Amino acid sequence: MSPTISAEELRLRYRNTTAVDGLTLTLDGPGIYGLIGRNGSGKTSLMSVLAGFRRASGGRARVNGQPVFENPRILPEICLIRGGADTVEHELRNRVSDALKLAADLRPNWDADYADELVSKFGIDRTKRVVQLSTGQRSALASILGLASRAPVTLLDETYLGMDAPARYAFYDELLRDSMAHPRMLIVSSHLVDEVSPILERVVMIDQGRLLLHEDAETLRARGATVSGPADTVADFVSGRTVLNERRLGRSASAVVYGELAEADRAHARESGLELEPVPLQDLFVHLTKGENR
Amino acid sequence: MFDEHSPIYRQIADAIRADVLSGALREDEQIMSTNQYAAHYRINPATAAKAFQDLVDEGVLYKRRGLGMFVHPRAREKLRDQHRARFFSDVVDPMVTEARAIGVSLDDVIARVAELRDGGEHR
Amino acid sequence: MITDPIARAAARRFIGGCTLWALVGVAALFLFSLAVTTAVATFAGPIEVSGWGEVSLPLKWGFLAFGAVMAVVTLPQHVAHGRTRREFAVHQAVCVVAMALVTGIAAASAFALESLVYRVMDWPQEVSRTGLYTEADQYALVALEHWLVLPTWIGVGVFVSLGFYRHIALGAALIPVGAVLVHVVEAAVKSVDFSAPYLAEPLAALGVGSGPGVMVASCLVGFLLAMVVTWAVVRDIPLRSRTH
Repeated sequence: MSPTISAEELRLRYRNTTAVDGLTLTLDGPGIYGLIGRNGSGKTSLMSVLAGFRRASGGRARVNGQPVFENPRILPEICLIRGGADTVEHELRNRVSDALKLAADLRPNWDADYADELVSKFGIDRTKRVVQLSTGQRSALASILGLASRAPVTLLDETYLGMDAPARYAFYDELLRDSMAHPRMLIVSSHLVDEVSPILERVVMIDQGRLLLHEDAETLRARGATVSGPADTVADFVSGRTVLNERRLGRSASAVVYGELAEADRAHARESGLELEPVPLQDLFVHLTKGENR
Repeated sequence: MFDEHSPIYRQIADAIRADVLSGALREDEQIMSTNQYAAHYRINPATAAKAFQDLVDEGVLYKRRGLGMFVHPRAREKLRDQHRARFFSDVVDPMVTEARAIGVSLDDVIARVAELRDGGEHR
Repeated sequence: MITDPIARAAARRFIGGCTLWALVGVAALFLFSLAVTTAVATFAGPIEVSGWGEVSLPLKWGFLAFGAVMAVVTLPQHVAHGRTRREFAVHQAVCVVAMALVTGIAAASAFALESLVYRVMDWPQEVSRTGLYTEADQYALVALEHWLVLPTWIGVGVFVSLGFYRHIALGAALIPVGAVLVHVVEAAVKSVDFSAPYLAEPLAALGVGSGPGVMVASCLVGFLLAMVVTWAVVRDIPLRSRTH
């Protein structure tokens, strides 16, 4: 069964802010999805509504065509893990082994052997209380709870917070490995786009509670290009295109253009002595969400 | 692992092409699965699949349903033809441009090529 | 009864766990009362009352606090693992009743156990109180009074703490509501003629007399109201995150 998530005109308002602002989105089928957005762009809020942690203020959130909120048939299929210390906040007084036992009891697809494997891989002491773990270890534990739940829809909201680089890469490796061994929908939110982007199959970018784009990661990478060369030639080439960013250094310049480049365009660029390079998703993200600084 | 100058799938395809050209990958030899590539290079399997698809389209690889990807019997030949066709535009022309830019006379270049040819023949 | 194995596991964890902890709590409080009694007898003077009888009020406050902690710990854990708020609301209601049931029996047993000690030491096992039971050996009445008042005490703990979890102002607003409910059930069991005195008049106006029936009904209403308030607080309660 391949899961489908849909949001229609989804809204979430807090007392005096609108976190999700009329967002419409459909995600279909297994794979690793990246939910990319700046701090405060509404990633956590969106995920919270999709997982039934909060009720939407407006619009609809559905999984497999069914409304999510308080739906006993759908909720066991969804697992949201929120980042940093937040994730296991409900478990602070518990020992690691208790947190694992709770998940084993309540998660229909829990894989205890896999959880044990990950616990030793990340070097977590199961006899410790959750509150005694470092932030990084707590994040690792949270990630373990998310991965071993094997939920058809798994949402991992910045679960890497506080993990050091080796732990983060171990986490990405696991995410990738397990998504191939047990295909399911894994939605990873992050603002460390550079690190996470190679493992993404699809990218959902949101900004200020609205959908910015939803695209195949490869297509998106082909979507933009950094053009560099003599300033005049660059200016000629980019005229009439969407330019996200332009830099000049003496007589040479480089510009980031957004939009599909046809093979003829690429050939033309090469012939006129321009260099074309792909734009890392990170840069595309930075350019697309620049706006005013918040 | 990857440079930032071209898309990852293209780099994977280039690496496989290079292996076929050098003979490291032989005709009808099975290559690693997309999942193995994905795990090894820490990339999404869809990205690896795109590289494979490009190579299938080019006739470098062929797919055996349920078994995986294999090197096409004529892949090496085809790649050599392609590279031969592009050799002058990709290698010689830029070399000449570079030589002119830095003031190396083309006669010297020709002399050097002749020297290498004769040296190569003696060996 | 519950067919879904996960729901059964959730219920077993929640209700079984809390009931067990309730028994442990009662046992600990009982040992504490014995220890204090012994200390008083050793250092202060003769024992004139039942130690267990003296801790009956702290016992109820203890259970209110227990309800508060259990709700605020269990709800987010269960919802975060894909259970519904509705299931939590049902489970917590059953849990509250189950805890009251075992505690009623445990409290009566504690008096029985204490009587053995008091007989050996030749202390008078007096209870000085108004309420359903007025002697330490009225075991059935001891159990009955706990069954009548504890569900409301625990239920109040549940909804006040969840109110605070939702919003500090809501929690604060629910404190007086809880106070009224606790007061009603306490008044009901304390009134000599088995009815809440200030309920008697309006009830009489409605043509309902006073008596054991009214007492039991008052306590039931107290508990049901606590559950209704709990549901109102819980039905769409958001799981908190760091920022909201």
